[in-house]
Amino acid sequence: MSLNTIAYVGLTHLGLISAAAALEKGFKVICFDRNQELVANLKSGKYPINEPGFKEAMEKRKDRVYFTSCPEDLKKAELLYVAPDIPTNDSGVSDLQGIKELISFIIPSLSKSSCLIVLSQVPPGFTRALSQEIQEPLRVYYQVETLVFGIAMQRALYPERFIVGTQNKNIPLDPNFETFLKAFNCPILVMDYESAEFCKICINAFLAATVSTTNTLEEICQKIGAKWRDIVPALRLDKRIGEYAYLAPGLGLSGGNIERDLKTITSLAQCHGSHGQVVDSFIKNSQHRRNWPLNTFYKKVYPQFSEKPLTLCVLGIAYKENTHSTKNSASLRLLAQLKNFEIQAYDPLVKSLPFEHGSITIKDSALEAVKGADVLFLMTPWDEFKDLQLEDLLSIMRERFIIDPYKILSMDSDVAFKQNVTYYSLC
Amino acid sequence: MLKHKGKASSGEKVLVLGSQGFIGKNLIEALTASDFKVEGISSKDLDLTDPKSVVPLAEKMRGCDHLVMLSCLTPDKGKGTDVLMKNLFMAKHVCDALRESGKSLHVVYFSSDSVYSFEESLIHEGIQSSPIDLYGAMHRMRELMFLEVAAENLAIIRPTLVYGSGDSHNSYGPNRFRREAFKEKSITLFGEGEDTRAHIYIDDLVRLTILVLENNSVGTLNAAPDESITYGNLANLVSSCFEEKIEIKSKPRAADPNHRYFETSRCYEAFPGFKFTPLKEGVSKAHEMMQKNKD
Repeated sequence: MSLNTIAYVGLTHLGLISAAAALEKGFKVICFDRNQELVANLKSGKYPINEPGFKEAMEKRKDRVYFTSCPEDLKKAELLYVAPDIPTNDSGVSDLQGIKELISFIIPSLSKSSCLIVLSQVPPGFTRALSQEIQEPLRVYYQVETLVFGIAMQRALYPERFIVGTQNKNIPLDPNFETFLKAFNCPILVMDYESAEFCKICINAFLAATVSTTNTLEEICQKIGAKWRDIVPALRLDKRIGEYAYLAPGLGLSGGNIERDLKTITSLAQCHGSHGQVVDSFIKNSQHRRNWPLNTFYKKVYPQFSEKPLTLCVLGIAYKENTHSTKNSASLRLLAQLKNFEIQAYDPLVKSLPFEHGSITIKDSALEAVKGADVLFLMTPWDEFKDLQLEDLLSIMRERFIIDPYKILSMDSDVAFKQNVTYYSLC
Repeated sequence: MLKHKGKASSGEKVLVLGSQGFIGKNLIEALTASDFKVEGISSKDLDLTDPKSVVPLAEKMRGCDHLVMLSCLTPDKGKGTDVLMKNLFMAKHVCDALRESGKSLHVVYFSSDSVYSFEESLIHEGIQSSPIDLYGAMHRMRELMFLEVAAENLAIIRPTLVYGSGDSHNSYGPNRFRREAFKEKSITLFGEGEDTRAHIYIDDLVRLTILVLENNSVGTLNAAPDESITYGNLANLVSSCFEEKIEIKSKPRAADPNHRYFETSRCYEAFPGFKFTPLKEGVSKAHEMMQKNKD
């Protein structure tokens, strides 16, 4: 048996990045989605995502990728990765209806010797229930995805490890599946479905713990005059914390995936009588932290203005750089909280808001948005904003108040003093 | 978090229960100067602890659009179960009158930040209430009573310690400090005044209440600024209003210090552009007003 073709079902950020990585590894790829408009766009090279290295990978291997909306085309694939987005409600609870419908739709068209691999983020128990519904000999696996927006291609091509959930870990993996995974030269950890599904959640819980701890400690640093940036190197050198730990203070959790997993943990803890309040605290800490720009504005900046109408500038709307996603974005939250103010906003990728906002203008460039502003918020750490020159900004602002949580402008107190800028940042 | 159900029309009528109290008097004065019509009822007009108050109160409600429930026996009137039960009966009769009136009034219930415990030092509306004394429990029970009768139309305001001229309660805080300083040339603190609290200036509380009325807001709002201060520093702030030297004295404290701060983002989100009076400015204003009013 030789491996020819991998299919990706659900051409989401995850699906497309995974497909591009498979292409880079030399496999043939079928990209399937029921959305015909999306498929047509992809065929003509219009990609809905923006990730460093993605477009290049797709263009370079054009001859090996086939976009389709026809389920019959999936018969040619030995491996089928199912990767639709799993929507969540405001509380972070997953809606699994879409993935269930998608799988039911494609199953009749699949070759009985193929493998179906669930790549989307599903709660523990989902894949076992699915495998029981699907008749043999089709084999069903769950694979943990660790997509990180902005560096997705790098992570997809050089994963730290693969984590695979199977019905029975004592039965060897399907040879085609194993061949594919081995192409990435990383450890392959095989475990039961439930363990793999929960493993993904555990990873995110540890990330959330570090993010929450960092944000809590940095906030206390600010109050007591300690300097978080001096503490961080000491933490990184501690092997129990580590070089890659999330020690940069920020505005809480965003993007939706980690929040979803935390919600799953608290629900499981509640269902099974376990103590899950520590995870609940991560969620609350994140909500608290997201209000930092608004609270800083009201507490420190706004009282310095009399009753004249203010013009605010918000640079960055996406929840992080290199993505158009605004899920749980701190910037979006800020914009919603400042509805009565005149706002000029700019984001390299986000060109509209998902809610009505009567007094916002989305501008075509950062400098256009900054022009005439009294207060500047830098809400997403895009590289483009790092290149902004302070002198250019100050020459077009009406007043000199800057709220820069991520310290994108890297302004120290001496520069702020010399330039007569009132500047607030984290760390 | 508050939700706004729509702008109130000019000439809508507000019925204020507890109109002769510290907050009530100030609110009536401000409402009288606004587009609202206003009618106040005090304990002298109607004894809300008496079941007979239900029928006349319901009659009054029929002619109104908003109800502000301020009536309450505060801890200075007693902290025991007798006061607790009177307060609960008052709320029961007001709720009975709301049902009896057959009218869906917009109800603003004045609760208190005493519904929160001191286990959390950073308070916001998302925190579960967990009162630790009868006064806090009373307010939480009254909130639930009003939720039962007016859930869709209910705004709950939970003020922190209120200060300003005309305060009849004289509780431990800016007003008492100012009066002590004026009469005795000294201010007495528990311990060194280590506990931290927020204090809301009466004018801010009145403005927030009017915003709630104007927007037909429903939900919960903590009426508290994001500025907190130790009682020790507050005593210094008050004493700085006087030309003569004010002695700061200490008496033994009964419990370990505790601290309370407020996360005010939900207030700013509900009312963008709202500004709290800085404590220094508020204490100074209150001092001037109290001097003028010989308070």
